[in-house]
Amino acid sequence: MSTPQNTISLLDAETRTAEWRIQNPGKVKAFLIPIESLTGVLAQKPDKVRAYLGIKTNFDGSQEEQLIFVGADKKGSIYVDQLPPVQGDNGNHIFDLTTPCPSDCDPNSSLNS
Amino acid sequence: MDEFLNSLGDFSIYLSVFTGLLYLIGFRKNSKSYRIFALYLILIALIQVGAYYVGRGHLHKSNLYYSHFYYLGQFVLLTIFYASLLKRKWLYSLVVLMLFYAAYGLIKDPESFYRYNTLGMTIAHAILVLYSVLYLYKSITDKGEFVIVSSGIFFYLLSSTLIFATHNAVSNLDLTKETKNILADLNVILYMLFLILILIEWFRNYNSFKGVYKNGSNEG
Repeated sequence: MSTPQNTISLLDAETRTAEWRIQNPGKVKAFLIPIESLTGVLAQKPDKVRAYLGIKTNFDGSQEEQLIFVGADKKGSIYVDQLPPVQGDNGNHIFDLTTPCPSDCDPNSSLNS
Repeated sequence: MDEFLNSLGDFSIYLSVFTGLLYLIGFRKNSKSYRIFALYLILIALIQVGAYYVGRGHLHKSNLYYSHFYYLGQFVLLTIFYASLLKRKWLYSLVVLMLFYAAYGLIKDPESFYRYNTLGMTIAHAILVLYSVLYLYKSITDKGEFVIVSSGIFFYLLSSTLIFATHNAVSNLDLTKETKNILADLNVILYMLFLILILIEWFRNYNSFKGVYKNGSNEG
């Protein structure tokens, strides 16, 4: 079974995530992403996908970090976001619904602690 | 600490539903003010459950638009409640004015539906706090019902308004998410205290089981 492209070893992943936690104590460590958000943005057939960081304010005034996905197409030397128009529909969509860790974590994952 | 406050937030939703259902006991036999207040509690419980389901409870979507239902529904029902307690029917005109103001804002800027209406919430809460002060003042001479609830409305809405005003003010000061979450957590704790006062009012003044128990013990 061949290894897919762009993978890293578990050890490398543990080192990198540990470094993030050391440099950003108490901050968000990961995001849980619904499959629908990934397949939705891929269905737009982008050259790449860009993930923006955002903060969502809830009804009760609390806030949480989010990842916001947009497709990106190569135009010249930059990847241009596939954005929907303010009104109407051009087939482009922006996807969110991600949930941050904490609180949505895997307590047993070696990438989490 | 976050998990504790999340649990407290969840518990406040359960308590909100419980309080609403409790006030349905004796709904028919109690006064008009009681019935309106019971409807207010049911409405707030439904909004809390709905916001929880749409937000972190299930769909993980933005639930900020529930704030419009919350502040307008609260204003309408508590104005009718105080119009009944204070015997001032002209207060209904404030309901019409507030609904016109909210509708105008949403027609002018439909996208504002997905944001807090800070000014609308502040005005609505300030008027409700004023009703509670007027009613508490009136209660010094005329012993009336819902004095405990009115004290709760006074302290909770005043604190909540200040918290949300601060929350929006701190947005311009680039304070962190954690600081804003502390303000939100403080609001949850104050809301719990408000619910406890509402429960005390019911158990002290509207607990029909207490009457049944007393009758039962008298018979015995």
